[in-house]
Amino acid sequence: MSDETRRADDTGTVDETGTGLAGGDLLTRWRSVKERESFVILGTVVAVLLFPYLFARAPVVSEILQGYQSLAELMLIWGIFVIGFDLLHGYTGLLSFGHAAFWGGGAYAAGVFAIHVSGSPIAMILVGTTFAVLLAWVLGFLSLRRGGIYFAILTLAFAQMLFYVALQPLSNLTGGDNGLGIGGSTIEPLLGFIPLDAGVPVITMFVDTWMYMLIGIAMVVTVAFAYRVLNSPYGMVFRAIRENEQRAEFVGLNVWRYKLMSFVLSGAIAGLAGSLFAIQQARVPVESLFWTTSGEVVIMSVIGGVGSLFGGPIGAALYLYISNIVQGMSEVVLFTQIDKLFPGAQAVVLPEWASPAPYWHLILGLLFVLVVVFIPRGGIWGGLQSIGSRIGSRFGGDR
Amino acid sequence: MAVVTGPATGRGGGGGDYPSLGNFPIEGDAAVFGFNVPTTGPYSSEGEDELRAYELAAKHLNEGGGWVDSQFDDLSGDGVLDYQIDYVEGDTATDPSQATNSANQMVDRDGVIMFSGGSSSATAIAQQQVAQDSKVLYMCCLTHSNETTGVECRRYGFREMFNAYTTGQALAPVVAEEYGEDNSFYQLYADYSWGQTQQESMNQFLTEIAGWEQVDSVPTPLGTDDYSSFLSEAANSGADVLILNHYGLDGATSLQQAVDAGLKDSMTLLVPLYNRPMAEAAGDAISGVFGTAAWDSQIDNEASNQFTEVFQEEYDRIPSGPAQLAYAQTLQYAAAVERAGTFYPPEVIRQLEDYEYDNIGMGAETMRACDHQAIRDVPVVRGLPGEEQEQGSYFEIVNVTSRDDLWYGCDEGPAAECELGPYGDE
Repeated sequence: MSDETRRADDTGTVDETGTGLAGGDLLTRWRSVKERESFVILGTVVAVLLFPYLFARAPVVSEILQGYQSLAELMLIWGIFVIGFDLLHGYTGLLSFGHAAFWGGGAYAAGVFAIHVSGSPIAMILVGTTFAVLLAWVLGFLSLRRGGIYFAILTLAFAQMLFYVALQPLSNLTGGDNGLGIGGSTIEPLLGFIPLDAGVPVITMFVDTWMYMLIGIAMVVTVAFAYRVLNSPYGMVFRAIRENEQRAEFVGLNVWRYKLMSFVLSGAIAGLAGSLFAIQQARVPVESLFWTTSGEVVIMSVIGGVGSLFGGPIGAALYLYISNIVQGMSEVVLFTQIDKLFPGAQAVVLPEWASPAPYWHLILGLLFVLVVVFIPRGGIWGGLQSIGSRIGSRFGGDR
Repeated sequence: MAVVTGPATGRGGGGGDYPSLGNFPIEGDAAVFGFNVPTTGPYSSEGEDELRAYELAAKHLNEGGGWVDSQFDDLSGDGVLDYQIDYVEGDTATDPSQATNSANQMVDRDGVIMFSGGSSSATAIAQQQVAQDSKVLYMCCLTHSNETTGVECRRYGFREMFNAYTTGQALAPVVAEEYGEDNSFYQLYADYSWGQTQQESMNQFLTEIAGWEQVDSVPTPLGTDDYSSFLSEAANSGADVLILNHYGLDGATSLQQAVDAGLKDSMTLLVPLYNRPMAEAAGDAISGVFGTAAWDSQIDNEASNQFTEVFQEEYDRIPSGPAQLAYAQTLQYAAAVERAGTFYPPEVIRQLEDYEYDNIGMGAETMRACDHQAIRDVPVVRGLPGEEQEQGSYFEIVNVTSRDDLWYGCDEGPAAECELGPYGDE
């Protein structure tokens, strides 16, 4: 920080044209503003509002992206899940391979509650999140006795246990392999009078439906909550544990309790995401408890950036984009897209092997490898930040 | 979830005032169908063949040919109700979550007016739910689980395929006559929706009709490569008959491994649900093995032969049972739209309910209104030995069990648990 103030002072005297002065001044202000909590929340609100419009409705952009509303919703839901996961992995340094337990557990709790008690979305979210909190408390209590790889394996084992319990013994409750069909008609309107598929007045063009509004609000609340926690002394302890657990212990902190709290917070956010998933899909597939779900969230987190709040949603969005849109992109679609970008290319007909669809797993794998090799610390978000600061330092007239 | 807001009435009616619902009215000049099949995963070979049949159906709807000219009087061969038929394809990867995502994409982004697909009951059930919630019709293709038109039935889904229950009903008398009455049997089943109902139904009817006794029934995970430990337990069980409730590549693998392990000499093998790609992959292993099949090109009647002919002309190969289902279901939907005079989903549904037909090569059928299940005949087949197999003929048809000897009432069996849900215009 002191480095930056010095730079801003310097530019005034060194740069004779004066443009550097204004630039440097703005930059300093920008740097101080962007760290503010209110700015972070406001930025999230704007991003959440603009995202579905750009992705699913904006004239040129959405056509190139081939996006659609329900995928935008899904991206946000997974984004929340990744933030929750990252709280534990990125900030406290505990790699869990069993986060499907909280995502799926929250989803099933919300779904079973909707079918047997009440289909109010708010109640479903509360039940799903509460269930995930309790589950995280128990699993955390059991798994946190070990660290490192043993912790990862323990969480994986517990999550797989839940998967098999949902698959067979509890299949009367969970629907077994068919998944739990909640049904769109079981889910009641928001607050009793706002149907989730109704348009939001005034900002319909941006967010479309109340379903998205609900998910968007959950996203903003999650970001605000996580930001507050991470920038409090409490969050500082999380990071201290990540950096050196022993040292934190010697300072006199109850490391085990902080780790458990981090696990519970992370589970709660994953449960919130799971409940939203149950509401959005009106169905809980049994795969939501399977280890592949735990694996997906790890991959999303690494792609987006471990230990960065906003990396998570970016990783989730990229992953889902490849697994849904690239997966269905035939050479014909690709050709039409290219033709829209460069009109007049009609003469070129793409051969069948040019279709990216069959290679979507490979594309995802390549992206993962590229991120791990080139931007291992911070993923895509970290990469964007370093590009940002490079541009910033050029503007700042640093010599 | 995906309500398209548009003009309140549409040309999609070709007349009549219907409100917008789901993806109705259609925007533009083409009605888009969605074909959501597994092109990866254990049922991919079935999915590939379904896709060929879907593409053929779309072609015939637009340009005429095949059943459009000969069997379906309602269809013109010049699109459907002034609309050309366009289609999008998706991959379910034989995975219910992926199937849901893919179906949502078709409904939400591509604006399909109907989608179809299946191969794996769990994916079909997941897609039926998307159909009901988004008020877009789903025509089931290959799904054999009792639950598809049982507890998981939906107003917006229709099934042409028979189910595990009727496979049991059709197979039990045939095997009782062939192998005698005092037998014990051991089952292996694919551990998901279909496999579970399939083994239940086999147990029920082999016990009731044939008087056999079950020794044990053991689940195997979907997509298993190595069945040897399951098979050796089966061999040591002392049972006379081994029933392999597996399908697709899994079915071919488990049957082949059972034969390789020498089980065929010590036990009688049964494969309740067969199809052509499976038989092709299993080769000589299927010799003498009884089962049922969705449809087969050897079923000799006008409609069957016509379909085989046009399919062969187009793709230079014999169509499988799932291909016939895919082709029939697409045309069935289009014909219902023509009869209704509109794409408005509730009217199309009413045209399909209790519709009686005899034009898809399986004899007289009724699409029952109470559970959206086609009440139809079931072919019982028996595998041919390797040297008698040739391109396109892997099994012989033992008999086509009449629908009068099969099925159940609307208040019995799986149908008793079915609640279809709303039409969407109430």
